[in-house]
Amino acid sequence: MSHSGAEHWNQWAETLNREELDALHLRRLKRVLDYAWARSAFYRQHWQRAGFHPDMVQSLDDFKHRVPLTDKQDFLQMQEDFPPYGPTVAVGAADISHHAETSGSTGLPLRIPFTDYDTERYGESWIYGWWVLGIRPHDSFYFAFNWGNYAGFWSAYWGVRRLGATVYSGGGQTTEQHVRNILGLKPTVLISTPSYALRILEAAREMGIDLSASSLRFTYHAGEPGPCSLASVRRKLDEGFGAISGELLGIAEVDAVAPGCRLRHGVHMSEMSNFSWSMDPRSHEEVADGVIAENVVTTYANSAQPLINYRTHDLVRAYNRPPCGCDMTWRYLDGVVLGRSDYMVTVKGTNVYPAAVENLISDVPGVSPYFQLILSREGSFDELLIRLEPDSHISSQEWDGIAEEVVRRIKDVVGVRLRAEVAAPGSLPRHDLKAERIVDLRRDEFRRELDRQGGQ
Amino acid sequence: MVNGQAKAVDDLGRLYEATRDLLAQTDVPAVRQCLRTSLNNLHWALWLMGAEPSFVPDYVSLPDGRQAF
Repeated sequence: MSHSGAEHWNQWAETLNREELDALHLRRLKRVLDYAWARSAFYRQHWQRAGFHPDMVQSLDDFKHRVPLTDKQDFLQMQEDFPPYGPTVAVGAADISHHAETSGSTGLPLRIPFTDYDTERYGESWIYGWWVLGIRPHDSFYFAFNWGNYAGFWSAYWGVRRLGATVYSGGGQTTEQHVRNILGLKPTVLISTPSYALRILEAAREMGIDLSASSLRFTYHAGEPGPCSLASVRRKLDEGFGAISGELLGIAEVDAVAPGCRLRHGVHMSEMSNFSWSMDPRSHEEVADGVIAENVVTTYANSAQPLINYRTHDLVRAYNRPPCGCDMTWRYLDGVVLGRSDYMVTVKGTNVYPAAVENLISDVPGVSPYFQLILSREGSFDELLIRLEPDSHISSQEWDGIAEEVVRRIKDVVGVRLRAEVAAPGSLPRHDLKAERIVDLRRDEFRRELDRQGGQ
Repeated sequence: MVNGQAKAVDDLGRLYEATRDLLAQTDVPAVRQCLRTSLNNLHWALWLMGAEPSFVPDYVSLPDGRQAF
């Protein structure tokens, strides 16, 4: 009996109504609390200090407001003091089957232990996003990824194994070899960061190869803002590969938390493997649907190092009742991640989240996915300069108009007039893993000061 | 739950318990590993159908290395 025609990987779970999902979460969160209390020295101590006991949770409101928050810094400190993991682990060493690390893009890398069971659950989260896009067990995945300690694409590998599809490893290959492998192996899905997929497209063009005529029918991305976050990236990927691009929001130490949405203007949280809510980063109060706030997550996918009421510092516009228009009922993050609560600058008296500016720039027609936000400090004030590359087909006479449009849109939405300058096509740096669009030239003491003001 | 799901959860629950009992009685490492993998899958299948016998399968060891069986 074939089930490849089903619209969902798990129809029942993906279409539960909010009340049913909340009832499920309450039961499961109690399980997680009891588990952590019984097994984790860190949580027992953390909770006892705050006067909390798992028996105090009788509702989701109790959970959100009574369970003490945790933060990456708590875990980093214990790993530093008691390597490799400190007292946060909840299982014996023999049950840790995989070690990964965060990419360190917001600071020191965090060490992440997983049990065998965790890898199954973590990998599963990817599949929800793949399936609604049309990816099935008969598909074959090419990984343009070098298999280091970066958790993101290891979990995609676990997902492909769980889906029952084929894995082609592109580890240790040059960009040109990836192009040749795609032609030779004929995979149907490419897995990479969005910026590296764009790099592959450029390399193919330089080799005289049109990848829109290749076997690829889908490309899927994580690690940085991709096709569900940035319209220009979606256009470039879809056109360049002649395929449908998708995006997953992953938080390495937590889960492949939000595997995508069929309509690709945001992502749905995987409610089988995590529970999340939106918190005002200053008052710690819950906010209503549609209000930009910090995503606070509890994972069901990491039993080796539980993360409970964990501050992600990701600013999201979340809806517990999704308005996206697809039939998945899981919590929806419109535009994916819009900024960081711990990374904000004040320009001309206005608070500006660089990630939100990235999203606005990307929506302007004629702007390529290659741009930089250059932060500097002039006297007592932060300055933010936008340096952007126009699409290669745009004539140089139109460049100034595009820069003016970028400035106008940011002024309209964010309320501050920034400077924008145009760089020649092909002149800004390309990256193999994550695009580094934010260039912070400020001295360290100013960054720390401003980060604290931003959301701690 | 959709049609037949309650019965499937019931059947899976019995399979899970039988597998756990088998694991507790087995001391051949190769067979134990097969049974642990089976327990993971049965536990996850229950979770995906709205049931949760526990947060993790019962064989998972405590931080000090002690195992239930």
